[in-house]
Amino acid sequence: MTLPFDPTGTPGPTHLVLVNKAGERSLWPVFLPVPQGWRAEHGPASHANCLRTPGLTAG
Amino acid sequence: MALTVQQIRKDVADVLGEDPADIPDDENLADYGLDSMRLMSLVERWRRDHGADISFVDLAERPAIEAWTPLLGAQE
Amino acid sequence: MTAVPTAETTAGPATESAPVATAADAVGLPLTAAQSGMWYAQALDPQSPALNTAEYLDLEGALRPELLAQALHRTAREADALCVRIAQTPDGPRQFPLDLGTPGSGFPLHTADLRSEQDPRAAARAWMDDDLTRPFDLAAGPLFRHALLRIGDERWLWYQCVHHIVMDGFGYSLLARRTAEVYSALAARAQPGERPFGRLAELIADDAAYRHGEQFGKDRAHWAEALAGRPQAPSLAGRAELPSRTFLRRSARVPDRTVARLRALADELRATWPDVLIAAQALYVSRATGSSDVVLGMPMMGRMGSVALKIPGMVMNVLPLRLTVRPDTTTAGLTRQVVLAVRAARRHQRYRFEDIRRDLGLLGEGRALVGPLVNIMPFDYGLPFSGITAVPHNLSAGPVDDLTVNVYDRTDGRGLRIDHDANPAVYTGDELIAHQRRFLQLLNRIVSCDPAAPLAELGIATEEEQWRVLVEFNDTARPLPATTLIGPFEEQARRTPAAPALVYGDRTLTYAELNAEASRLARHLTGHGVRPGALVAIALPRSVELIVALLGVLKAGGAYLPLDPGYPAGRLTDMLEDAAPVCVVTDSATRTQLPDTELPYILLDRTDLSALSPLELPRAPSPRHPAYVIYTSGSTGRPKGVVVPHAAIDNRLRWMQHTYPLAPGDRVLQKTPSGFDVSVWEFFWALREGATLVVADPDGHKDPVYLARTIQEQSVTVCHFVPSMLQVFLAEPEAAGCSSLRDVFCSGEALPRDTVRGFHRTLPTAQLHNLYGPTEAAVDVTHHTCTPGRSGPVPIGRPVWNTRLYVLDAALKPCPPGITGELYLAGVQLADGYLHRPGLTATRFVADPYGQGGSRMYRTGDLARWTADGEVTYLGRTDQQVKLRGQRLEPGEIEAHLAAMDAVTGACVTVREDRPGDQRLVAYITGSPAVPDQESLRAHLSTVLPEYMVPSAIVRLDDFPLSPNGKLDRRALPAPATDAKTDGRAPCNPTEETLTRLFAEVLGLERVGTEAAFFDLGGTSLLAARLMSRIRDTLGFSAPIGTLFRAPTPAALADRLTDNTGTDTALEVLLPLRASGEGLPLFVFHPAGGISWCYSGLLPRLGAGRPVHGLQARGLTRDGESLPATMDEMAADYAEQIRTVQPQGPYRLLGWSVGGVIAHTVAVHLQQTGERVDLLALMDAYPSDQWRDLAGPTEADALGALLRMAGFEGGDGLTRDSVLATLRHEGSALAALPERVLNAVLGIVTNNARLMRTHRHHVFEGDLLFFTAGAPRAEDWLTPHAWRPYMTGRLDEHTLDCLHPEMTQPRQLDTIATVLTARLKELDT
Repeated sequence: MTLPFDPTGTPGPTHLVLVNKAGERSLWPVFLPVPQGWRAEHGPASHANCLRTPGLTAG
Repeated sequence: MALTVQQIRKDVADVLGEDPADIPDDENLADYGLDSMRLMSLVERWRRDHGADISFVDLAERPAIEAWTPLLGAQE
Repeated sequence: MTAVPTAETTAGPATESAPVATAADAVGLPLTAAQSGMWYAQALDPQSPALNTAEYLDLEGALRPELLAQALHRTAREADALCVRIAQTPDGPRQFPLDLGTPGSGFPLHTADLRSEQDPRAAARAWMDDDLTRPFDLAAGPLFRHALLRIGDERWLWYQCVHHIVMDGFGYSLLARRTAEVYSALAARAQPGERPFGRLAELIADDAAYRHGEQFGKDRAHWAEALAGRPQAPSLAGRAELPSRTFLRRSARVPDRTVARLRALADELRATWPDVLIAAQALYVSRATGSSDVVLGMPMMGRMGSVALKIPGMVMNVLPLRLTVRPDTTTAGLTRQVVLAVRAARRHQRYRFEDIRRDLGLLGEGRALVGPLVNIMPFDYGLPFSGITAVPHNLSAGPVDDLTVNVYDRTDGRGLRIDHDANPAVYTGDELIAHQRRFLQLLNRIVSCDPAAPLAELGIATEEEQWRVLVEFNDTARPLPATTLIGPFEEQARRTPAAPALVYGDRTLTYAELNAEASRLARHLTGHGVRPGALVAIALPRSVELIVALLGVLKAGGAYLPLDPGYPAGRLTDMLEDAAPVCVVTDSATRTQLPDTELPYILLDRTDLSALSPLELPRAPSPRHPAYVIYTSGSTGRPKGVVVPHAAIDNRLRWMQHTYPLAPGDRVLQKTPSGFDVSVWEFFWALREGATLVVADPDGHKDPVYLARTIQEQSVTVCHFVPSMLQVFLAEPEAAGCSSLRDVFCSGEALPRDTVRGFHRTLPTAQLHNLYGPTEAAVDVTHHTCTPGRSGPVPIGRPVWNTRLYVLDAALKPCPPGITGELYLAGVQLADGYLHRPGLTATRFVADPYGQGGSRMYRTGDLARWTADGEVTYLGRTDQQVKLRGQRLEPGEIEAHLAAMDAVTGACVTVREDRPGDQRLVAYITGSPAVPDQESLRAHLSTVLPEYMVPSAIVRLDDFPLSPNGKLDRRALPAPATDAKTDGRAPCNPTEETLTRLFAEVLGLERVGTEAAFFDLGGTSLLAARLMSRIRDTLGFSAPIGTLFRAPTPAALADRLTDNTGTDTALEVLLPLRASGEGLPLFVFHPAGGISWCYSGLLPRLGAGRPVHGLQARGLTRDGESLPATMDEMAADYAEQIRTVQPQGPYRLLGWSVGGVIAHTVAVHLQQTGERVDLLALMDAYPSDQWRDLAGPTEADALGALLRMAGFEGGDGLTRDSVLATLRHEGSALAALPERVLNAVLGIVTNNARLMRTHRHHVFEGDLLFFTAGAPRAEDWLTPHAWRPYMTGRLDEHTLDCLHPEMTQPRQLDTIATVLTARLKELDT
């Protein structure tokens, strides 16, 4: 199965970083609409770059 | 309404996604991507809209506008 | 039924329309490649009507049937491809011209007047449906039949049925058109015009020219490249079968509005409507199978630009269309892919489908090249029937392997009709209806949406299905009080302070005592900085102290982190560094196993808490605070900690209590190590409900005897098992005594149905519950109570309280019931995330598009599907994560450690199950010569990984096998070195053993294992036919080639041929070595060991047609069956068995060694009861008086007898193990005998030796055929003449140059069989 939350193997902006009111974050593929209660905090960016954003790097 | 050669050219070009001016009358239309599906749709169209009395095999035997003209009873 | 009137004479000379008979007709013509494909398809099941194609035309008007009959006749004669019969010749199948006769005299036209029927149309339909099921006789012909059924005064149905080997769909339209022309001409009294058709010979010549031409090679190369690296062909049902004899059909009309939009969209995209329809099908298939690489099949007529344009015949081909459908693909993009793929396929469409399959090595069942077919059929049915309107209807479009979508655009204003045809062996009627309904809804959605939008916005479930899976199946909302893990325990302790809370060995603590201990510890811990949100590591063996520690940490508000002291120090250090707890609670003994860190270690056995207050603490954690952190295997090399909040685990325990209520008398067993989250409910459930927790010994969880005893002694009512451990437990005889058990829970692995059966047999008063859930969702999220008597996979069940399950496809759209997708979990039981890993957490705990705003869902990586009634079934993983005996591991973690070692350049870890039931963790590495050996590698891994994660074998490879697209091909990884001679386990009965030898013979190989598939080893259709023929001659089983396709290995084939009786009949007293055949059977008698398999070598040598039955000793299959006390008793028993096969003589008997003595005794017995025995043959067997004075046999002798029975010489110093090793090495079926049987054999040998010594022979009235082992031997006094006193006839001796044990070896059997065959032939005449 192709998995929407894994790196796609193709270059370019494929994902977003979403955040909700509680401050929880979620990776998200660009081809799907953003679910209710979430907003896009970063992206579109590559999978790897999404994981480099401040909210997702281990501190 | 009888078919004219211009109409034939236009319909063929339509179905092939080309400009009518780009298709020579003696050209083998199979080389332009005329397949059985597209040919059948032309047969249907010409029967339905112009009452042409032709069969798929008639046209498939030699797929070129100039060969079709007499079969379809078209005038210039 | 009216007779068809004789034909009117037509005006003018008869037009030349019949082929001239030539000398060539006698040898016939070869088949085209297209026809050969059909020939072999029919050969798979010769009686199947599946290759009958049929349609009827609904004719309205003043039809003149006699003219139609003439027109049919004439048209048929003009189409010489139609007028053939096809028969097998030494050069393969060929077609021969056929004389058709005339209407009314041989021409296959049936006429009937059904106007007087109550419902003429229905009657006609019934007749046609029935006719369709009658197979054609290819060798006799004709291969078509017509019918003209009158259902009204001006209403007729013209039916034609043609075998697909001579005609395809386009051919039908040519024939129909010509028939109409001829009819119209005849009706107008005019000449029909010249025959328009080309000749069959032209088709054949054209086909041959293609196959020898340049284009052939180019086409082959094109397809090899186009299909390189493709995955398994998608089947909507998940499996492939051979076509059945019938098919299911579901018809639908595409609504006009959809058709209009479809055409408009096609125009907009510069494509044709079939292109868009195929795109829709590709989308459907990709979502329904979870694969982005979809291969559909597209039948193509292959007539354009070809001599075949005007020849009715079998020309069509099916071409693969390979498409990539990703969620971000758009309608426009996918349609464009279809256009290009179809165009490319057209350019290379002459290369046969069967050839493509063969080139790719896909012969044999289960190896489909394409998924569903999309068959667009806009054939020209504008028929020039004068005065008659004709509407065509298809009845059968040919065999259906899987699913075919037939689309008809009849160009007469009736719109698009779609027939979904399906193979009933693969789909049920309901499934087919569902597929069609969904497809039509999907098609409508596609043509209505923006072609530039990603297809991810579309799901394949119908609206009703969506509601069902998202809402109805997830109706689990239940308001609960906001409590924590620990709160209810404290409340319970207040309610029942004196009740027993905890039992460990002979210690019991009451609730009050336990609560007080824990509270004291909690106070101590708060002094060390433990508070809500803080983490405390606990490293203690199972004991009272462990429970106290867990409760103490929670009471202090902290979350506990269990550490298994058995883990290697390196791993523990990793975990402690990663988690950074505020302290570690342990004891002095365990402390020595823990690494040294900066953290405070609290040694419970050295800490005096007695001075602290036992009162509960005022400050408590809130439901949002973490309750525990449990580490699981990480795929990149380091384990990760899952943080579970109180609210999550509290929901789980409240649900559990409601569903399986615990009462104060209940006793729950704590046996699961604290590092596995199953232990969480074991620890806390009982203590929250006033029941008693029975704590097992630290290592007791692995010992089934200990567990059974503990359960009985402690009257345990509730416990948990990982399924593989349950299996072990149930095998323990004491398990059956655990009648106190009421509820047993399984989780952690797939629960096999077999284990469920075993459970209900062993513990009939207990209930078994299958639970499922990852650590990331508070232990379990689904439940299913097993009911006895069910079959099929055990579901994981329905969601628990306040939990939702989603089965989603690659675009995160809900999968309808029955379709596989990835399982996502939502609801209150989700963990907070991974400790200190926000990135990883964000990729696994993602936004939930179906929940309340802002909610999350967890992606499990498990594949699953909904059943129709709302349960979920588990189907495997999407990634490489595995469960090994219930324990989760990421191969990536192990690979990371291997790859980090010097000299190792690459690593790959996988779980193999080369023997069923035996799972092993195997690693593969590449590297420089400096790579350490296997043992050193494993030793190193043991310092950083828990024991269960250390591979049992590490295989060195030069390179990793790659699939054509460059990725690692796990399926091609070699099995670790075992005995290379067996590809699978040893044969376990003589049929299997014989089949392995026949496979080897036909394939020209030295040896073939029981699990080796025929086609994998190079088998072709031709060799398959030869194999089935050898099997028929050797074993007497007659089966069509199709059986081999269904069961391509010796093991599977043996099963099928013997109707799955396999090993069980192989040890019965009467053994049908070859049950079928015309002649009188030969009965053969077991040697000393009691088993008659040694005679199977006679089967191929005696020639087909003669049945052979073996007699075997009592006691092999049934325990406690008593052995005969005398040889006479044995003989009487065997004689009775013989009579069940052959009630009357004359009998033919053969025996080797002790079997010969038995044969003589049976022969005498039969004669005494008045029967005739006309053959008594002995192989080196001597009367009992020759043995009387010798010593009795020892076990070594018995073992020697076992070896000899298998055909090998014994030698000295035989032990049971050495004998078994020899048998296994030689691939003997005897090696696979279970322990019990081997014991029985030894007993039988001893008994037979005794019977031999005590027996007194009687006289046999007849001749004796004797085979002597003539090589020099120690017992040189043995001579066949010793039989003289016990026989009246002639002694016919044949001496073989071999030793006694060698008599059943091939060379000797050759001689013996030759003599026997000759003698039997004499007797038969």
